[in-house]
Amino acid sequence: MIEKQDILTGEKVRLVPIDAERDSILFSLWHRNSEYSRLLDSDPARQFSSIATKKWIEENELAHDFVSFGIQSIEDGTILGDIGLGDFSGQFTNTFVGLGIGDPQYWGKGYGSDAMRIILRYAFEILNFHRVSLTVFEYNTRAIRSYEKCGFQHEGRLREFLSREGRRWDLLFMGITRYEWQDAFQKMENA
Amino acid sequence: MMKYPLFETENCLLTEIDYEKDLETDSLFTQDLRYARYWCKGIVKPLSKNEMKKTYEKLEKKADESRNKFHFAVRSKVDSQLIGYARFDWVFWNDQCGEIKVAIGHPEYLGKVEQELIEKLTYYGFHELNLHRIDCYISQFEEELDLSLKKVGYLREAIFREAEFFNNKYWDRYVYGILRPSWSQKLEA
Repeated sequence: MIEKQDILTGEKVRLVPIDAERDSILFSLWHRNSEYSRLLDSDPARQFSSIATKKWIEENELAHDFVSFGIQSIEDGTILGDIGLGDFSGQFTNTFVGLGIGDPQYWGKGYGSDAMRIILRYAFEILNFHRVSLTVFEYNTRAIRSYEKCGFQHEGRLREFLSREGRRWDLLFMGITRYEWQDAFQKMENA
Repeated sequence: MMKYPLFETENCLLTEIDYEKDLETDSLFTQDLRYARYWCKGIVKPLSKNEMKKTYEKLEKKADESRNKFHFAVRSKVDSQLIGYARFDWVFWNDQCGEIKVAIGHPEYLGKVEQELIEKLTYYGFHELNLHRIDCYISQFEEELDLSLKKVGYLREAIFREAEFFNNKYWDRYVYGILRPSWSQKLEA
């Protein structure tokens, strides 16, 4: 028998389905902040209308090669970001995780780390992945620290990958295997 | 002025897809799942002629619409028969970065032409696409590509540990990269 357990709830946040109607407005709003866009993506920072965002969300509902969630504060129910797993079409070996906390008032307070721990548990315990990967720009030091805290290992850096503000920046690769996650999870349980 | 031909190596020609002739050959090549991996985005399996045709069409449509994909069917210089493909799988124009793929399906050419194809794609990337860096992602078991990339001057910059499952085993995925200055130095030397 399986113990009843709320896999998608952490200490500060829970992961909930993305609601096209509600979240498209939030996603558009978050992208007005160029700092957010530039932390998240190597594509040029730009704006998305909520109608275009809603259409994109609806077109990708029930997709089989990625899964995404809204990050909801347990305290007040606010949707403060989104997180998802992708690039696993055909095989459940490796997946890339992407995470964005859209509302800057929630930056640096542990919400992202909590969401990351939840999605790792989901990736390993429900979807049976062997490892989870991510890429992060070298200037996003807050995110790098958070990923290290969640158990991600540094696996290399692509030199001078990104061109922004008149200089080039490295793209860092990080990953966590099932074994590393199990070790980290057991330590957390025993603490 | 244009002293180096872009679409020719010592043993190969980089050409357009020939729908008349390539479908059957490429479909046969994919019976080797090692080669099928280069064509299948999802489940790795051999592709029928019709599936191959749809894959070509999708690729050409995407290349045409996005303008960030450059695909070449690779043929033998001797008899023009299909060997595999060489491709810029994507280009990020704003960052001047691109990723190459070299896939050899013809068993007689495996391990023999990878280096010249990587060299040609690299030349194309720096001298035609005007890139700053070029990446190549390979699997740990693709030893011929691993060796060729090193010989052309690529550095192994990252290792995704056990990121692939093939032939009942987990394999690392390597990311190689080369920057324009080190390529230029190599050319001068």
